[in-house]
Amino acid sequence: MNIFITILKRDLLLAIRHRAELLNPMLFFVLVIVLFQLGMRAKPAVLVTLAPAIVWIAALLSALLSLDHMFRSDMEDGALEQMIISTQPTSLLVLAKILAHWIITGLPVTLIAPILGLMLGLTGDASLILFFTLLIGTPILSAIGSIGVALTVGLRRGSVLLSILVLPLYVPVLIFASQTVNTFMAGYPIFASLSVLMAMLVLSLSLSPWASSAALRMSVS
Amino acid sequence: MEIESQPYSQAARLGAENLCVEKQDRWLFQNITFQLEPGEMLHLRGTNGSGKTTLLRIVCGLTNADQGEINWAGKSIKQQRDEYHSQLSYVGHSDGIKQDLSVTENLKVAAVLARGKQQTPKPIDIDQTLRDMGLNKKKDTFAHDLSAGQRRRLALARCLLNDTSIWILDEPLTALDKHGVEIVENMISAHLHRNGMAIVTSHQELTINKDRCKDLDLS
Repeated sequence: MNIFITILKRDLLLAIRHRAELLNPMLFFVLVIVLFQLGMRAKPAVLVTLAPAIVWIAALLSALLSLDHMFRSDMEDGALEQMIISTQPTSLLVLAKILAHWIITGLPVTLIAPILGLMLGLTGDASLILFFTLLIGTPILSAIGSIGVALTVGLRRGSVLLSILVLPLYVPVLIFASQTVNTFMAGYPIFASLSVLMAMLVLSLSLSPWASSAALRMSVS
Repeated sequence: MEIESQPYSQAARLGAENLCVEKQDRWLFQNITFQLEPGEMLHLRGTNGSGKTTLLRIVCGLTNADQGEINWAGKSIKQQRDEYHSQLSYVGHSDGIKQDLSVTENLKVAAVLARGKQQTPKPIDIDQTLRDMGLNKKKDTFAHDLSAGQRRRLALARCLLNDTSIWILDEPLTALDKHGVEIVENMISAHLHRNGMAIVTSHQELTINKDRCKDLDLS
């Protein structure tokens, strides 16, 4: 556990000292949503029905934007090699890095989303549901993303490949999350789709560290 | 210079058998074999591109050789990855130092990675290590404010702090001044004296007891 906390603290400290990395995904997220709102002012009713999807697509793209940072700098300065030859299980280190990535990118997006939801015309309750889908869903993005980054970090121009690899895996999250909010707005129970999201979270958090650590070993060698 | 003088408890013979590596359809090197007893150093020589770094990475277990294997304490390192890595310090070309962390923070992370469950390093150990490496005045300096030579010393400080019996050093003398070279030579000598082992690539000659030093030329 010691090592988990050490790596988590290290990554958060590095992010705080590198503010651009911290602000960029959040700024991107806010800007996309604000632009949508400005562009569709004439039809607020349409905007409300699209709002969950808009927020989720923005969250997804902002996660994708920051994904490459997860291992890239560690690869370049040799810190990744040190992690792999350490006595610690690599999957535990990867889990710490996934959590750090979520705290840096997913959590701020989740926290600000209800306000943006209100701005797009969602009711207070619907914004709250949107918040919950993001709270469950954004860690999935970091976890699945870690596999993609681990696979492509050894390549010189891996970022294009990364999007192609990871986006299809993000689609189920997008579908279930935005559907949850839409179902709620239509007045139906949302337990089923929330459960599916939860299952995805558990599955991705428990499996992706193994996959990522295997991929990292390959990328480093 | 004060360095712990107790011999390493887990020092054991390290060897390579018939290592062959192929790169871009030609052999980078073939049939490399060596044996290293506790207390011995292997000085790896060779022209640029002769595969020195690749060989070091294979010894670390970071890359696999196309043929042959590395043995430690009589067994292949693949069968005892964790035990082997707990005895290993590697300072490569990229030194594994985070620019935005201070000298002490860098060492702490490295120590936790290497020691794991045992214990986090005591501040007094870190102080001692920094003093040994001539970095005691730079304790709270960010790594990006260090000179190239000081960064190299910080990377090498990991070996001292982690107290491992196998040191794999890729060009440890790069960017070091005369005093720095002396520190590193003393550090390696003391390490060998404690029954440690080292595999070092260097274009410069190292002033180290010739009886303990083996040579391997890859070119």
